Amino acid sequence: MNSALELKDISFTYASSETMLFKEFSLEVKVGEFFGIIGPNGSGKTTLLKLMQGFLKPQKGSIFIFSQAIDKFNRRELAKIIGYVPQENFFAFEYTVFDVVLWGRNPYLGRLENPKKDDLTKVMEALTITDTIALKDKSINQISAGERQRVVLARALAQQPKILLLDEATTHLDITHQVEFARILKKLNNLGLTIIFLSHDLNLAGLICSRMLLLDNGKPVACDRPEIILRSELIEKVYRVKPYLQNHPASGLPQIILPL
Amino acid sequence: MQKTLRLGWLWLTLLLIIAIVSSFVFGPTGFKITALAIPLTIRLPRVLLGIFAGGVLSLVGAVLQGLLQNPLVDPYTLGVASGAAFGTSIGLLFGTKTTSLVLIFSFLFALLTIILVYSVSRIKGRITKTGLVLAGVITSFLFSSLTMLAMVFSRKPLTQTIYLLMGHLGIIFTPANLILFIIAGILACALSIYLFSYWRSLDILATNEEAAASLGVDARKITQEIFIISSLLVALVVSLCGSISFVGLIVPHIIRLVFGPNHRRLIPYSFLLGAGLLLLADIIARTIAPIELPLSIITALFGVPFFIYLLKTRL
Amino acid sequence: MKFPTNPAQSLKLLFYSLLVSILLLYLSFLNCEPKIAKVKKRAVSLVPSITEIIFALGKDDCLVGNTIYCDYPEEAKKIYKVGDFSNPNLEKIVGLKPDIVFATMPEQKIIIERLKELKIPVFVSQPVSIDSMLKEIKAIGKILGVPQKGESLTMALATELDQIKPKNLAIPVYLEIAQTPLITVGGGSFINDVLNRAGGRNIFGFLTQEYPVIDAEAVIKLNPKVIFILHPLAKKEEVKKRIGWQKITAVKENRIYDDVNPDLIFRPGPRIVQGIKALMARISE
Repeated sequence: MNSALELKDISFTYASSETMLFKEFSLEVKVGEFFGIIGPNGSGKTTLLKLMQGFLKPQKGSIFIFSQAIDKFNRRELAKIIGYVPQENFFAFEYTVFDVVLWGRNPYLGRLENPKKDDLTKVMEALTITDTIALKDKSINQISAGERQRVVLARALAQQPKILLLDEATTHLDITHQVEFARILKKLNNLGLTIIFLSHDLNLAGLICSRMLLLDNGKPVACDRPEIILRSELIEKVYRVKPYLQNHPASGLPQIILPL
Repeated sequence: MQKTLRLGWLWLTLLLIIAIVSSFVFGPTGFKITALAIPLTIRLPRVLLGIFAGGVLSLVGAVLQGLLQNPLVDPYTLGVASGAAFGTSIGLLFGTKTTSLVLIFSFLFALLTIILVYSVSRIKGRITKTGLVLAGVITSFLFSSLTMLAMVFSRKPLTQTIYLLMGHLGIIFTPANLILFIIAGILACALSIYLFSYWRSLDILATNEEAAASLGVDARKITQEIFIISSLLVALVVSLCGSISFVGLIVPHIIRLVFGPNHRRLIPYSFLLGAGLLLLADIIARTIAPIELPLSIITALFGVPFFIYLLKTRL
Repeated sequence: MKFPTNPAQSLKLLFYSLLVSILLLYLSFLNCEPKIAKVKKRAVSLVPSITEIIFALGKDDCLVGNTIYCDYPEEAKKIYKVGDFSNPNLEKIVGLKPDIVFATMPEQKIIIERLKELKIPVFVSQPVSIDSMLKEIKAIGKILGVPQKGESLTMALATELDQIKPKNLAIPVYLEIAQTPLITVGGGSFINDVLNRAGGRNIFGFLTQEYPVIDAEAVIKLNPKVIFILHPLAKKEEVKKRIGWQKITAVKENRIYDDVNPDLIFRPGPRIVQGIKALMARISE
């Protein structure tokens, strides 16, 4: 299988810190994988996502997108390949939902070019898939956080990416929309979209990801199928909590029960 | 509401046309259809200057507010205006023989200010929004003080200083500085259109920097480019007309309140409204008293209540 | 040099340092204090025209301080400067221990009030016409202890003024003080009187402000026959090229003058006669 995204021997530290966060860290996500990254707060998940997109430069090592070095791409080209759903989303002015999703077409539009029919169609598709079409004329700051999350997903989908990066994208969603979100992602993944999914929700991640990375303080503790990762010993070691385990009634995959 | 949105350009152009016609008709010496000499020779350049200043300042204000996501930003935040004002006062202080030379002095100092602000704002070799604003504010203070110093040493009556600092469209045109103005106008047109082409990126910059980057918008690069082009435009306006305050701050807000934040509309509409409003303000400045009032007073006096009204009804 | 190791040495060091400090203090005092001979009546002039008057009265030995703009006659430049015209330095003025300070209204309102608070005698000059200027010269003569000189100077000037008979009267004249913005002289100023005596009539005489800002349209409409440019920014040739000004009679007949020294007209002092004559010569051309 081809490589979608590869980090090779990455060493990285923030300028303000003295210790290396990542030391000779390597990771490869193959095309079509639904790859989950889990780990406690501060383990470096978001940093990893930023490194993957070239927002941060590692002190050592290289990053490859579809086997091409990341510095060969400019921002626009990268935007056609990678879609990003960040954790925090803020908007300084009152743009409509439709406008925001239309931004996803930016990498395909020239400076003075107006959006074409095809662009508008893609936007409507993205809105439909994420069930946000009813919101399209509302102001982005006047909808709920969960709705906003889905809008940002729609925007990322409007980019027609080959790789989708999601940072805690389901945190604000109610269970209706969590299930929907997960189903949408699964469908897109089946159609060939490579997904990298950061989450605190171990159970959800376990159910949808094909492979998971457990990260602790910049060190890869384990990288394997969910049923192997979601074992008490590893979870206890990293999260310092000993959960109960149960098997999912339908798929048989292990689910974490909180030890309260 | 949708209707007003769609016909926005129509209303604003209408307003501008009314303003232009009124500027021709109203003046301290009245209007006679048979005596068109004064309107054509004195008022026409003034109208062109008003459109130029009002339009460009509002456009730059809109762009900078979008770039820095700060509603308090106006074209003078980046410090260029104070440098231009200083250049003008230096030119006058040394008694240069022609006005054209003073204009050139002013523009040169403005360029110097741009370079100064640019280099001061570079933190670790990159330009940040905060860095720019801080550098602009500091430079403004520096040059304002130097301008005051120059004013103290010059023997000009205080009134002249006030008009210089508060903006005034009554330039006496000779063929020499008319040519300079036309060059400035053409340059401003080109730069304004180029600035307009950033509209989609400016929209996208309204969200976090990383999300914007993931959508293909390089915030750092754009900040640099927009800063330079905006500063050049402001330098052109201030060299010719002094610092007309308030227009660049308020007009974009008015447009945003009525037509929304989309820069594709915001930028050209701001230009139209700014030009129209400034012309109207200039008519008042010229006719309300036997002496000519500084423009900034009129723009503030009439702009503020209208803006408060808009705020209360629209928000 | 070694550090003091016993009380005797420390005392010596202390004594020498004290001596040096006193010497330095004394030297700095010398620098601060302006060198002046003992004068009975110490006068400070904050007004260039009054400086000229004082010199004309021959009492420049009383003058212990003036402004940087007091530049006539040449000797006036050498007198200790207390600052500029609009903002002279109060400390410097007070430091000179003046018996009388000459100031003018309205520009120096603040400094006058402060001087009055400090109980320093101030003579406020505000001549609205040539006649009041002559009266002021007499008064200044009295203050400086030379009343006869004051009288004779006044008489001489009055005689000269009487002999000035302009050929034409009330020729419409436009006086330009500044170009950006356009500033002229209003009706409420001394200069109007000067212009009248030179045979001119200020086209903006109906404005009450002293130095009003006007629109170019007004100049064109009022159509002056003579234009005086009283600032260095524009020369005659440039004025002729001003767009829209070609209709003005003064421009058509090439009656634009940029070669009159503004000081001769703006300073209500002994040189005013020269000023009037300069204006008259050009108005009657």
